[in-house]
Amino acid sequence: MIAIGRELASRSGGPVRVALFGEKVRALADALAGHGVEVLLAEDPALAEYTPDAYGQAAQSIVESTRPRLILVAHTSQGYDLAPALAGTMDLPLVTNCLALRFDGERIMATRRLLNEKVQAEVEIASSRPIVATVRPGAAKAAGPAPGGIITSTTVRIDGSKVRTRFLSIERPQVQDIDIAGADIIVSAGRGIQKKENLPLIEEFAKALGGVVGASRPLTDMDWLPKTRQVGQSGKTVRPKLYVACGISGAMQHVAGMKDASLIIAINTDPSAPIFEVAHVGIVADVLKLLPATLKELKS
Amino acid sequence: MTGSADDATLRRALEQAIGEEKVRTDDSILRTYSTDASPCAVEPRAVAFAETEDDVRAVLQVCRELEVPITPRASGTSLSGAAIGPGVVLDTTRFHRILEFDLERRRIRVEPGILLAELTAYLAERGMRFAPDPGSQDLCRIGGMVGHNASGYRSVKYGQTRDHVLGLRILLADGTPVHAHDIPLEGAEWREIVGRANGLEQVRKEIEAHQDAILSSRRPIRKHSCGYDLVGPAESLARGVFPLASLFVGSEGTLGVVTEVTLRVLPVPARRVTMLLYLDRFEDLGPAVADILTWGPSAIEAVDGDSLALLDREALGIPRTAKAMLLVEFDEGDPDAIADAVVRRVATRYRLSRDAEVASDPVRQSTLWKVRRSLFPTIIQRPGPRKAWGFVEDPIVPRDRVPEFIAFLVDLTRRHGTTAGIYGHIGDGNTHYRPFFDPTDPQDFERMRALREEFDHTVLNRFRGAPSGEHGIGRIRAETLPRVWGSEVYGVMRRIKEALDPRGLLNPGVLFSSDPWWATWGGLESRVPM
Amino acid sequence: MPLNIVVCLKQIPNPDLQFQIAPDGKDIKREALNYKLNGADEYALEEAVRLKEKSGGRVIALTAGPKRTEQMLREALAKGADEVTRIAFDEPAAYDVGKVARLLAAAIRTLPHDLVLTGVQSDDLVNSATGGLIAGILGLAHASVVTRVESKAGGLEVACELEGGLQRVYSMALPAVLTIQFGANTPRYAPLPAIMKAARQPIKELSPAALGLASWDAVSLPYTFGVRGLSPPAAKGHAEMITGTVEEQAKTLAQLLREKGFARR
Repeated sequence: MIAIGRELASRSGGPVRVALFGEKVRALADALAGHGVEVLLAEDPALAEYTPDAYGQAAQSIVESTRPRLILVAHTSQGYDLAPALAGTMDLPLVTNCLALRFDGERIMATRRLLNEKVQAEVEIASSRPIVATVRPGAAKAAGPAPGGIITSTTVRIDGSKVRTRFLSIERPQVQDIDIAGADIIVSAGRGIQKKENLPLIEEFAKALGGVVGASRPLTDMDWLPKTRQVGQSGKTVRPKLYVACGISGAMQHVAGMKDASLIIAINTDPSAPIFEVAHVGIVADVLKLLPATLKELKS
Repeated sequence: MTGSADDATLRRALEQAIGEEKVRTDDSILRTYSTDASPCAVEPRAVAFAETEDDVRAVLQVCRELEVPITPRASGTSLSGAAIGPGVVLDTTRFHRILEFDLERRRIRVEPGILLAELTAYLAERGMRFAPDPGSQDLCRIGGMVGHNASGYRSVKYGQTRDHVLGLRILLADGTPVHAHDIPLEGAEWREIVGRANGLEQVRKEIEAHQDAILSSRRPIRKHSCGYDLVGPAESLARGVFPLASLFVGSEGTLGVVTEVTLRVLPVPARRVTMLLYLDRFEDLGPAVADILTWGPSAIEAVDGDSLALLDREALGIPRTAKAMLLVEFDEGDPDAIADAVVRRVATRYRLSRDAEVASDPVRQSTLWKVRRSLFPTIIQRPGPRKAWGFVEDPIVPRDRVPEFIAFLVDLTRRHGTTAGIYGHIGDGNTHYRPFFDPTDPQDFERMRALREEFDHTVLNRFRGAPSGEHGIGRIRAETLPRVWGSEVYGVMRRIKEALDPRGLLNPGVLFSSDPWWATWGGLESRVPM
Repeated sequence: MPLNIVVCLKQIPNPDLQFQIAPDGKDIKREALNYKLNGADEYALEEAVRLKEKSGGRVIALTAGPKRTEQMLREALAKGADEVTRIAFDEPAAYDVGKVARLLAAAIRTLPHDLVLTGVQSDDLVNSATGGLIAGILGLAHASVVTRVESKAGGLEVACELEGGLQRVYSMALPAVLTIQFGANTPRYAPLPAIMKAARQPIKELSPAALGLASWDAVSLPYTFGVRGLSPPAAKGHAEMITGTVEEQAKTLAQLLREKGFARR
């Protein structure tokens, strides 16, 4: 995000400021300033934990005081909680889940992916008001260190009477299953396996390779496998030596969790499935037919 | 009736009866077991996984005590909605051992949950096979085949499951075990059984009392899966024998739960020869089939021209001019000589779109079967909101009238404003018919209702056929069952059911129901036809 | 406490299909598409109906879209919605999420609403923006990526999913907007008889005038929006493909696994 901000700022000629909210987050502010940007540090007990209302008020306060041309927010579950509500509250233009952003004269051009990553769209927004944009994690290489960063302490107005969401707790998933994050070989199943009854086939294949079974989100949603096996943004991030994606289409959320595997083999019946973009080796085939045939080959 | 006990009470009772690990009541499992291969969806209250006959008995007892219905289920590939129910679904897939194989007497005794594919592999190693081969042969299990009286490609020669069942062990609704096979009425065994099994004597009396009506209700068709077999028992009873297994085969889980099956097995044929013919004139189909039947084929499948048009003609090498396809197989005598003779006869009498193809090695044979086998997947995966939901999918007519019947189906489809897949086991008169509709669109739904009504009427009255050759009555054809056999014989079936299951615990809603065919359809928005 | 719930639904092209770009490059070809209820919205609808079944109240399903969305609304009625409303916004693609959210918000203002639910994202445009925008426009409390909702004295307790499987639990006041995450529940099937019954139920239709607008183009927006063009995504580092029959593919794959030392002997 800092990298994208710096790049955009260098073309438009304005400064990049990073707003940091929280309580006792000075160390983080220092780290951010190390990237050569001005950090607007807003510390307040009401910002100790994220809540949509308190952070929303803080963001609004910063936008009002700095009047930026562009407000960048990470497209994470917290980011797309905050950004659209901010745009709605302040009546600002919004574009979300962007792969890339650039200025084109007065307009902002955003590159987005639609329809299961199968279509790319260029959209343009022009406005005299600050534009809110969320950027997909990993859309750019993280910014390197740079000199000249400063930290500016800022006060934001938070009206406690208007904070309608109260933080209660963080729940962690109960772990009582194998940890796929540490596995060298993962064979993951997706909706392409069609039926829960076909899971033993995946298990057998994983066993033949000495690996463990992972899954894409739809399978854990249906309770075919425990949540602990889920690879992806809302599950585990894995970096195995071998990742075999069986009947997984390759939605962005899944790819985020496995794209760094050393060798990715993807099997899918749909030749246009986005998984083939991240895979090193692709096979257009019905996994229910290919795996038994491969097992037979491996045994012979 | 779904019983008065609440879900928690039911779950606890089942857990106590068969153990916690064999009982599931969570959302996702209830969802999975709320459907079979039909468009019906009925959510159960619990799923019990039986591994032994004791488990079955214990679940039956819980269901009796709590007045909760029970639906036995194997792989859940029923196309009629017979493998789902509103109470406890009794999954038998873990109840799947081979108990005894007797090569000399050519029989094998198995538990109901065994996969047909597993049984086939076991028998193949011993040079034998179990003959019925439904389209779901990779998935289906013996228990489901018995329940539906299943058959398949080779039924023209080898008949239905009933023809290969030598005996069954069954638990009746009240838990009484019955060994069902051919039992002489004069013997001690019959006296012993009727002494224990309430209602069996009444079943015998019902059949005997209505023997004339039963025999005259027969239709000129070679097989059916439309309710209890009464003709067989009526004829046998006249000779003093009650073929008890015959009554239970095809009873769709409404009379008892099968816990053991004894099957007749046959040697694997030494050789098979397969031939593929494309006809330029649809009118030639009937005479060509009649000719071929005189040689005794082991399979004879047809696909009509409109259905061929649904396929990728280029990729599958289907001639542009073909109006019908015939796939024929022989497995006895000197197959090559027979094939030669058939090809010569057919080529001289009928206009072939191109030379007949003959294959005697398995690899070539499977290429010839490819067109036939690719039809069903193509039909069910066709894009668009109109899908090939099965609601008229399995009619059987006298086999000499199949070409006339296919012509009727083509016309019926067009008149109701859609297209369809029409194909099937032409050798025994059994057609598969899958018109494309979107049942969630009110206008299409009305078309479906009108088509179904005309279909039932014409199959039953004009063709003297029956609505199901092998898929069963289930929920989708229950409203039509009285019209198949007439009210007197239907009454006999109902009273047999009441005699053996007076409280209606076994698979209610299946076979006997006045609900319209679509009453339990559900989830079509997120499902695909099977 | 009985809850008046509005659930915002979207009908989308089935994203499992393949898509072609229309000749003008501004949309996909829409002639032969299969439409369905957006995946996350199914969970939102189910959550709404479950909350109603537990607490009492009413569920109104709301959409903005062309006539074809009536089928989806009938499905919603069949699954337990009490009323359905269609904003007759006929733009087939509706790429501008800000405009759609403003229309939805305007309609929600006219409906009783203690709680507004929608899916966490639409699988066609993947903005994850509609819920938050509505909350901002209407000034309602909100929470996103919700996996659990419980009605608690005068308010709600909700669990929101974070990256890495963590959940953040809030208590919040009503009225509120929640975006519901995939897998939050098991959506029920629509029974066909209920769909047929729904076919006879009225679908309330909102014209621009009903929302105080002269036309759909008259929505006041603080920006101008345009689709410059659609394209197939550039294949970056596309996989090396193994082709052939299944048997041949299996042979090649097995060989590859052996070569790389992954096959256990």
